[in-house]
Amino acid sequence: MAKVSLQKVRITGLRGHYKILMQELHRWGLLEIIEKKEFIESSNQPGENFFAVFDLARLDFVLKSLAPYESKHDKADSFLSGGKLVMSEEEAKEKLKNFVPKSEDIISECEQIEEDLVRHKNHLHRIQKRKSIIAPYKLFHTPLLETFSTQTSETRIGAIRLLQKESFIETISNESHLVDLDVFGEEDGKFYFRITVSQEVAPRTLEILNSFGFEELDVQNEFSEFLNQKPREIHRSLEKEEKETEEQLQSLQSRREKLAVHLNDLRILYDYNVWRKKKNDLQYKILQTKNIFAFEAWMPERDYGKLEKWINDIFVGEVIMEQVDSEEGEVAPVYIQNKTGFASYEIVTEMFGTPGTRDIDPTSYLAPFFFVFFGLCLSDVGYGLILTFVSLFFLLFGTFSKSAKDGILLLLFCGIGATLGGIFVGGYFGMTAEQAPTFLLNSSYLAGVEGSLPFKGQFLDPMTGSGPITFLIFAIGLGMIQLLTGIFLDFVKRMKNKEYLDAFCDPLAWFFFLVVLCGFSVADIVGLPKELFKNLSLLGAGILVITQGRSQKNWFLKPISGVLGLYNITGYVSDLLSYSRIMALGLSTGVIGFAMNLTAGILGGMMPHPIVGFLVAVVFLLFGHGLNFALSVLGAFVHSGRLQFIEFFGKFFEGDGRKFKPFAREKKYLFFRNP
Amino acid sequence: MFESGIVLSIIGAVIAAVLAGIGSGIGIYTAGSKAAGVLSEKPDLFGKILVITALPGSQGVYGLLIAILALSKIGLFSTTPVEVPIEIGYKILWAGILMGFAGFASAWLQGRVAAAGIGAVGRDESLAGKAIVLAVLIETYAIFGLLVALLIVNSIQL
Repeated sequence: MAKVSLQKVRITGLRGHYKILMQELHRWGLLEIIEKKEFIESSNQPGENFFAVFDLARLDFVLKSLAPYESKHDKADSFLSGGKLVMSEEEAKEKLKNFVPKSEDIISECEQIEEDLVRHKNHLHRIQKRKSIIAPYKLFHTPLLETFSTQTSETRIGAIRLLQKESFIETISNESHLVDLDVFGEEDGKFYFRITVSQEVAPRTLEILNSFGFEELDVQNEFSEFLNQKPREIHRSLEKEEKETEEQLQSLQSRREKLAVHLNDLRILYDYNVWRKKKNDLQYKILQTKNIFAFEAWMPERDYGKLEKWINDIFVGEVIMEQVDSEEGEVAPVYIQNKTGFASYEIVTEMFGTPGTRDIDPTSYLAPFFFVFFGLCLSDVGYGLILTFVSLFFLLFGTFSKSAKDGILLLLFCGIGATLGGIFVGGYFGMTAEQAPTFLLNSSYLAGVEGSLPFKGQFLDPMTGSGPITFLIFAIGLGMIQLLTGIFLDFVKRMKNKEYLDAFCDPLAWFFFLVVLCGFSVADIVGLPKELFKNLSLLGAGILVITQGRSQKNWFLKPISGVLGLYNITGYVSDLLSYSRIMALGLSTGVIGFAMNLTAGILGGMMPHPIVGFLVAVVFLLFGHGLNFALSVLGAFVHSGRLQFIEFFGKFFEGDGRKFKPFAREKKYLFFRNP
Repeated sequence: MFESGIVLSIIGAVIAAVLAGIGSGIGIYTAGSKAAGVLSEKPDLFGKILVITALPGSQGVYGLLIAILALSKIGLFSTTPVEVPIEIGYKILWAGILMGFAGFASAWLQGRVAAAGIGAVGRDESLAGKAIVLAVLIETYAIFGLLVALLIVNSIQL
């Protein structure tokens, strides 16, 4: 039985023991605490920090800002553990103890550096902007003044668009002879100049300037601290300042990089603080008064004795645990646990949902089907072996949490399945018999002869002759087996839930009908007595007509409902057809692989030199098969999954359960090795 | 030109590849735009979202598959030219039309479902599996199209 039965418990104790109890319960991770409204409402104790907690937002900020500077060595270390820090719990505690005293200094230093970096970057930005403004005026050899105008003349410096230069000069010289134009240069599509005119024509000149979109150099706002300095000097001092700021940025940057050596310690600190916060926060979900605390929780029944003994030994009656019955309408969470191997397929089940209280855990039943379907969908020995060896490598040399390990194990099974599927249909990187190395080939193979299969161990050739139809029938046959299994599981489920009448009338009646119908349809091929199966089918249909109308109150409508119930056969037919995707996906892996090989050959042949051609072909093959591998694995996985979710689960599984989520340590960065 | 088997075949192959490819393009565009939006908020979800975004891409591959299979059946890649009877040309043309339209419509609409699913994953990470399943429901019809087209093309013996 893969569903672990859960027990509801109540724990009551003296407040003084809260800290030590929570510490241990959290470490064991056995209990899912129930948030009980009455308990929360009758609590009359203000919150208390049982565990000192560091500001997590600050820690998170520092971790994020330092993460990009992690040493390559550390990164490589955590590669085989999915980015987690692997150590024993004692090591982590020891490191934490050493790190805590200096943690505040390191964190505030890092925060200060981040702040300074932002400030300096903004400053640098502003300097660069001003530098670019003043640069075109370097030829202006007069110190900058707030205004260059005198009693008789007015002077402006600035720029217009270069395209309008000619027409501007023409307009302005037509206006007056008392105009002096000094050109500094033409840059970035702009025309920079100084213009001096006599006061009489000044207003008119300004009008003309504005009509040409004149951008005047804003000395007062942009360069007020540089008054009485020549643009060239300003540019020079801005350059100096830029260099200084860049140096400061550099030194801040290297200080930050140095701080990155503390990353791992900071990570330990982070995880521990998350746990502490969780333990502190829990007090708001339970009953607590000045002297006592109490809460209710779900826990696996099998661990009850162990926990009870521990509580009695440690707290000798000052904390007590007792079993309580669940209240009316209260739905227990569901905890599924399967044997190693099958446990990997829990991932597939969880993709759909957690089994409800009435459901049976479908994991171990879907596992063989998923294995076979995935194998036939991918159906390539090459791709299967890649998947197998990569996941095997991580399993053997990596350190992963149980859930991550289950995921890799699932990929390993998928790889093995695909390898077997590949042998079954003769898929080897999409190679044809002519391209394949001879050790893969049957010695008796005769090209072009119907029924002669090229590859060793091959069962059918999906590309030639009747191969595709055989494959299709095979896929649909597998579907039939899965559908019947699903209907049978529905029968088991209903019996378990004591719905005996329904169990016999629905799943069992349909099971019988579908089996004899199958027998009837293949009777000629496998040599079954056709007449017998015909009569049995009629009997099955008759049973369905009688039973399917049973929920109708009206006696007249009962037989009509029964006959209409037979119409459900179309649902089974469409379910069966859905299994044809196994064949289509299986074929597509091979054909795309074949197409990639073909294209690589053509591309290689087009190259002027055989060596260049060979290299081009190899690069294309890597790319093409990489793409095919990724798409085919994704397709095989999601479609094998879909067949479970829609066709298989549709027969018996509701998946409306709530997953058991124990109060346990969630490790974002850490992974504890057993000492 | 509708009297030449080889021309009909090539039109069929082109329709299969082009229409299914356009459908996949539109589908991934719809899903990808939504994905980029969600990623700007939650970059950690990249792995999950990438899988959903890639789903409408398969139809383009199915179209390509039918096209290449058809072209290799009529001997386009071999050095010796083969005479393609008109009936074979029509077979491939219809297979191509079938694959092209099945792929186009399903990829285009799958993109919308995928985009909605990506939005859901953005709010609740644990919905990733369900979002994938919803998007895959549509793909069924592309696969049925592929299946029939494969059977047609594969029945050709030259």
